[in-house]
Amino acid sequence: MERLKRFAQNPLSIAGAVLLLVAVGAAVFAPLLATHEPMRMAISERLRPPSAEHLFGTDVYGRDIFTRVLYGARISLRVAALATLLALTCGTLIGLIAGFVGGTVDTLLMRATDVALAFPGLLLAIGISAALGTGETSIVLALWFVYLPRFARLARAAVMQVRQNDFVDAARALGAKPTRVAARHVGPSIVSPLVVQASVYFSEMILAESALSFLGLGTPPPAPTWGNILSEGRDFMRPAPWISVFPGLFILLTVLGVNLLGDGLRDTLDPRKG
Amino acid sequence: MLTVALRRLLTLVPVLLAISFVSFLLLAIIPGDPAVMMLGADAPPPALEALRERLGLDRPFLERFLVWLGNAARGDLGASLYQHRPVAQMVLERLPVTLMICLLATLISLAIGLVAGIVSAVRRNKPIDHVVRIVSLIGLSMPDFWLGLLLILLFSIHWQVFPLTGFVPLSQDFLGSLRFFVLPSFALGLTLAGFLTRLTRASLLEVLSADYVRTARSKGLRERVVVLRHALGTALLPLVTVVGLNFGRLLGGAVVVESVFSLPGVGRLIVLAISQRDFPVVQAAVLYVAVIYTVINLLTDLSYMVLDPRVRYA
Repeated sequence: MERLKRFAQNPLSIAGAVLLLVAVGAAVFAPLLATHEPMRMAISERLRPPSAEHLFGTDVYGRDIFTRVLYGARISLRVAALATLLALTCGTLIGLIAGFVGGTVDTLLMRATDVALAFPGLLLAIGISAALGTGETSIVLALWFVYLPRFARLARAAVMQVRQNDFVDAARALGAKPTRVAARHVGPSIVSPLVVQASVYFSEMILAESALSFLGLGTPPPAPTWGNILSEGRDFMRPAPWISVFPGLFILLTVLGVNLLGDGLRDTLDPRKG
Repeated sequence: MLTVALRRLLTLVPVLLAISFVSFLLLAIIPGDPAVMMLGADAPPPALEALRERLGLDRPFLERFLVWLGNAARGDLGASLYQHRPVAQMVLERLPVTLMICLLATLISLAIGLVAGIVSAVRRNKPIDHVVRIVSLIGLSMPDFWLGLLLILLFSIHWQVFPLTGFVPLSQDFLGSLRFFVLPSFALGLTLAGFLTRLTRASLLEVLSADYVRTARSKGLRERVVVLRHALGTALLPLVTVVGLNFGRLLGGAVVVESVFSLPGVGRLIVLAISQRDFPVVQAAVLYVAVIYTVINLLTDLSYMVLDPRVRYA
């Protein structure tokens, strides 16, 4: 409760929460908010500048950009959220195993993460999704694979740090089983660093998803994603800059929201860094 | 210190081996028969058979890897399926463009990040600090390829200061070529600058609260001397690591930004190769970039050793 109050008193955290809510709201209520059909083409309406009829203008096929940006939020946020959740759970599990079991298992798991981390993240994601083929699933898998070792190392480091505490020794000395020590005594302490880092990685994944679909590796057109709308506008920067400007603005505001929220969470959950 | 450095150098061997293995796997994880994927489902069976043999697909997995590794060690990473040229050569001739973008972006982000970070830390909680913090957060939240498009809109279309299309190789006319690098480097560098600003600020603030800084202040030294002569050196140490680590982020970002500006770098090569399903090229490019990244990380570690006596004697 105390923490919630501290969080609510920070105007930047509130601003972040609002920005993220707007993006999630756009995704969830896209069919209600949309003014047009996301895929319907109207050649007579092509390359119209923003107006009351078309809030963000239209693209070369006469499709309404505002509508497409709303529907694009669905795919972009779904991919990033799904990949974050998968990487967080699998990575944490691996990190916990490495941290608790130790020995050879730990060494093997950590060397495996070393290899994955030896590649620039976005490049590895590009390589994997290129190999798996275009589509939402391959992007989720690619991002999952890139971020899994990052979460694993973080979880392991957190476990190692917590295990040095006296209260863990005390629990063990009192006869608690290893599983109970892990679940009751170590678990809660590693949650906050993981949550804070998950918010950072979530924002990175939104950017990565948009970069991949900008390159044509994501959900293929005509389904809208922020990245592929932006990419379609690239050839029309002179006559119709609005095609690329608005989806990019949505990416920026959403990522900014997540980052503000992450900063707020860190200050709240880790009082030392206040 | 030399033994520590040599030992660190030795760890490079397994990492490079593992990188090669993952790059090799990239071709192996393509679902279905790679020969059919590359030639199309309606390709004549003899052609498919020939390609399978050429790629060595009829042999066991491990043997294929070892053969590939042996060739790779000699700089032979196979030939492009479309251009019929060695892929290693194709990657190497495009590498300077990509590295140049990353280098310029690093310089830009350092210049902005250091100045903004120091100002922000020294004027903590003053209006300028709030402005810097918000602007840097916006910077690091910005998709670099979108910033690239905005820069094109402003500087190539509206003001026409920088060229919209075309390219002159660095080797042909170095200064003339630099014009084509300005906007892409800023697109990458500005987003990274936001990150470095935050880091410089946090690092400097931590050092400024250290005991030895209080001692320096209580000796009556001027604040400028305290910050620049006593605190800054210590505060900048973590930045060495971050700049090294961020080179990986830049290499990834360069892939996308090159596509925005149609620059003939490795990134553009990868994207074109993916659209043509020219997988040996993708594989070679990924491998080269990962090796460069690994070497840069090694250099970062070594320079850290030189700069920080605690690491040197540990």
